[in-house]
Amino acid sequence: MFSVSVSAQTRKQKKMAGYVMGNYEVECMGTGMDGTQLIKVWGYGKKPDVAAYQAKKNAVHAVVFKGINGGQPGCMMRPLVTKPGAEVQHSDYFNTFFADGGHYLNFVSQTGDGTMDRVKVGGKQYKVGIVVAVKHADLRRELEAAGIIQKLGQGF
Amino acid sequence: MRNLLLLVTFILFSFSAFSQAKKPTIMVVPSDNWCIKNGYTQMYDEMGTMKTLPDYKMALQNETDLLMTISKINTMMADRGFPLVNLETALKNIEQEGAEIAMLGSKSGGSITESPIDVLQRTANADIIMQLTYVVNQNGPQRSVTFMLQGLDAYTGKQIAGAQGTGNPSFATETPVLLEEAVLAHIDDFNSRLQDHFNDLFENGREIAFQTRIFDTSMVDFEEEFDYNGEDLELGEIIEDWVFDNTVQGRFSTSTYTENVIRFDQVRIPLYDERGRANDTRRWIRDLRSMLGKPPFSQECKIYTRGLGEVWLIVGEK
Repeated sequence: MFSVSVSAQTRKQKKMAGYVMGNYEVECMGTGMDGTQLIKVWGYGKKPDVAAYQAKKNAVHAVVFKGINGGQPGCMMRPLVTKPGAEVQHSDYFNTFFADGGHYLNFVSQTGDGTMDRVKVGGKQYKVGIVVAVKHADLRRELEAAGIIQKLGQGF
Repeated sequence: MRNLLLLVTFILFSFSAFSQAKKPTIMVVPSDNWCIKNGYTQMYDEMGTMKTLPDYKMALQNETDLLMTISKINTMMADRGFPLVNLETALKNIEQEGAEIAMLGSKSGGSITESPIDVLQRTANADIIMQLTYVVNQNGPQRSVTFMLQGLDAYTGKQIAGAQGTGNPSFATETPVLLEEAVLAHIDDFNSRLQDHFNDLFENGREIAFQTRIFDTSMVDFEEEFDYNGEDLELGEIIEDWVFDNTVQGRFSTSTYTENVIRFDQVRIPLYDERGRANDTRRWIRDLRSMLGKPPFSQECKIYTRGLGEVWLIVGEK
């Protein structure tokens, strides 16, 4: 199983993906408070801390661009951004948003006691899974304000 | 100078007012399925056939869970910038309006005129109905909620948005909490689909239904031929051509064509008229009425609208 997982993270893919690795795993853990969803997400890194940091980035990326289609009920199955090509079209904005220490950190927080699932893959890489709360309602408002998605009923 | 400033302000204001398309109204109602399963129905005798209708008033007065769920959806939609029409308030308004119409009189003793059609149209209505269904499932000591929200276009009858699912089973959680969780879990997916519908509307025009009919006092029917723009065409064909010319990319379909009635479905009308004003069905059809009022047709026509989404043009008289 691990060999499959490692082969899925080739060096070429990492280069292509930009600020996140496109093939991260994510699953729904349930509904949080109003406008929040709980997600278990995995990240990769040379150290567990780096992988956990990447996982938070992946969580926000999943809510914005992928939707959460696996796991328990209660998460948004549709992504916030549904327009094809929007990630490329607004690449300047998203490169800044998802930069290390970027604005995306305002919308994600680790839940529980901070424990993480840690798997060593290959000789120098860790795969770390954490449960995070993503404030998707605030995230939607942020993207509306940035003009990336439309406010519900905009134009009427 | 002051007058000039006022004029500029007025023009800017007018432009911004006209640049807004007409906003559809949305209302959450319990589905017929929910009302019948929970016993909130009333029987209605329609010419000898007994019909079962949902009794929304009774349901709202007795089911706190329903009221809470509707209230939660209304609140969340308002938070997202799209306040809804509240069903309970709409029902109360209709009752109040009926009482006021019956009581109100002029100084000389005149009362307010209301035709049977006016009475019929005095119902709780919205352009988009959010139809709500939920079932509390019991599996031994565990309970879960199956939740379904359907966004229905009231005039085309199409489902334009939806979200449904069953929540996690729980031993201890109370029904209102399970329902609240269900609303939280589904409302944003629903809204995302609703936004897709609005985007389609802005791109391809508002979808309406249009019928044209004939009063039995009329001297013509839709098979009457006229010489119009150098062609001999039936009145119905001339109307069909007008619809083609006045829809977004000529989009419509003719579902019925007889000498007495022509039904057009999936008619896509532009959101704005040629002067940039927000369009609606009445405004859209006015030009056709004017055209038919002039030679060679010289026909009086009555326009009858059903909310934002359906319009009838009845040829023969007003």
